[in-house]
Amino acid sequence: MMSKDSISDESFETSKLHLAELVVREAQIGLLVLDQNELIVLFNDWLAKAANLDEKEALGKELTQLFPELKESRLQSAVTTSLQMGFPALLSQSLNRAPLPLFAGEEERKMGIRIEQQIQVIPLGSGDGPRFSLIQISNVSVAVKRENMLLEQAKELKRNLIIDGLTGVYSRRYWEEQTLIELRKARRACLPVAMIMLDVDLFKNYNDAYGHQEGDLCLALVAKAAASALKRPRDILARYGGEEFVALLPETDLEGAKVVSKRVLQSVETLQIPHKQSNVAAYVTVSMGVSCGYPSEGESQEIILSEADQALYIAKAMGRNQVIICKNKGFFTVDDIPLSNPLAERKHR
Amino acid sequence: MFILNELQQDALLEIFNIGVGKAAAALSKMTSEEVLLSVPTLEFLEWEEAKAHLPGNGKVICGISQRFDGPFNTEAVLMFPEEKSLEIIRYILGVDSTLESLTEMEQEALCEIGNIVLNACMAPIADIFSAEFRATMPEYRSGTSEHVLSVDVEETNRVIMLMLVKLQMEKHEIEGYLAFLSVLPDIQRLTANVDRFISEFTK
Repeated sequence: MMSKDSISDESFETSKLHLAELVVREAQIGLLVLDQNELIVLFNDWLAKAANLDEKEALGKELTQLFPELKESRLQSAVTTSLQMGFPALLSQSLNRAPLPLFAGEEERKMGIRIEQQIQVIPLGSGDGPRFSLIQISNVSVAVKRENMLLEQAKELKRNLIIDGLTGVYSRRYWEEQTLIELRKARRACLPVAMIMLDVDLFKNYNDAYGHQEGDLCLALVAKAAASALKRPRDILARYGGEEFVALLPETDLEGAKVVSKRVLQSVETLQIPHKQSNVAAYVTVSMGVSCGYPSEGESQEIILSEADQALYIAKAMGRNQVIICKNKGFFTVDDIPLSNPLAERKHR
Repeated sequence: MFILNELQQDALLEIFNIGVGKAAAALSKMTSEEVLLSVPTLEFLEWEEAKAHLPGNGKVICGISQRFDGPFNTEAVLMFPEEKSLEIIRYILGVDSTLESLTEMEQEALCEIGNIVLNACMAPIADIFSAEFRATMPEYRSGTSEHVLSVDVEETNRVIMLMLVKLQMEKHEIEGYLAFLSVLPDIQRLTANVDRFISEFTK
């Protein structure tokens, strides 16, 4: 005679089985089970819907009968390994994309956009009993999208660190980084490094006359023109701040820097941007200070930059729209006419 | 400490190289590029000794681990220095990223590579035992080697079978470590089976 307890145990077991069946059916992931002979014995609703197949069509078939593209695929060999060895396998989305033709809806099916899949192949049962292989498929489309967004944003962020947003030339930060690198290289190789400081003449007047929007546009145009005058790939033009720019010219001596600065002057002049508030010319012009140093002889970034800055100061004092060179602590015009610093200072005052 | 004779050592290396050879073939197929994998060295170490041999030396390493249970129980871990993992996985996936750590998807891809290598290395071990193993899904961990190996310090008798793994793709080369953490009786069972394998082989 059966005890009361065992009956309730039995019904409990039955209800547990029933519950398990319901869970498998309703789970919002794909579940597929293959038996020892690699025949499908379970194919849940989520999978049936995504694969646009009926459970009945799937049962009793081999995986490759249902999805011929899986022949000799990693998924197929993972299933075989799980059944023969009992080892589980993970198929990542990044390395396998979407092995199964599963679609979120009719629209996606027509367009051929598969659900992004992460697949786990899990051996079931072990030892003496029959073994099964469970294929669990998760939809990772959202995660993939989120990650692509993250990567894009990271790239954008990096770009913003390198490029000045307003003018499109390099940022001051990037220039600082590259200057350190180039000075180190120049020190080792006993090569010169040239620096050009550039200032847009009477830019405040331009802004007052044409408005800030036009002013921004003017800066961008001048920057682009100046950058195009730098020819070698390691030459860098960066926005130093406001209407000031700086050019880093590795492996360049004063003669070379002179040539480049003349080209920059011309390039900006060619733009012929009208400037009615300028007493220098009828169009926008620039002033430049040029210096050059040998880091191997102890000339630091500060020295080279400060010399270029002083030269720029003199160029402005001398009437703008010109290049002044700093050589052996003295100052010269591009045509090598020497100037004395006190003279320049007096003129400026 | 625990020392194998030359024959046992060679046989084990051979066994693992069969495994990684198969793993390399699988990876090559998956990435459509030639992947070379080799296990040039193998040693048995106690945990304290092993620490000095592990990559990173306090630096961050990435590890993929799986536990295998059967006649020989072991925690198998494949470890790479983090920066090299970043380089190689981004090369394989063809992503141009400057993020300093692996993203979720990249971690998962690394997990899969680890899964392929670890399964492939355990398959010939299962063969020489002529027995079955139960294995867990691969798990990703990053941190110091202590963390990645998550060593239970209380446990005595712990032996690590440590192998250098070289993975080569195009001009990228990544050196990692394959560690099998077991207790001494398990390792002794392993060597006993290696002996059986050798004697059958030389019959």
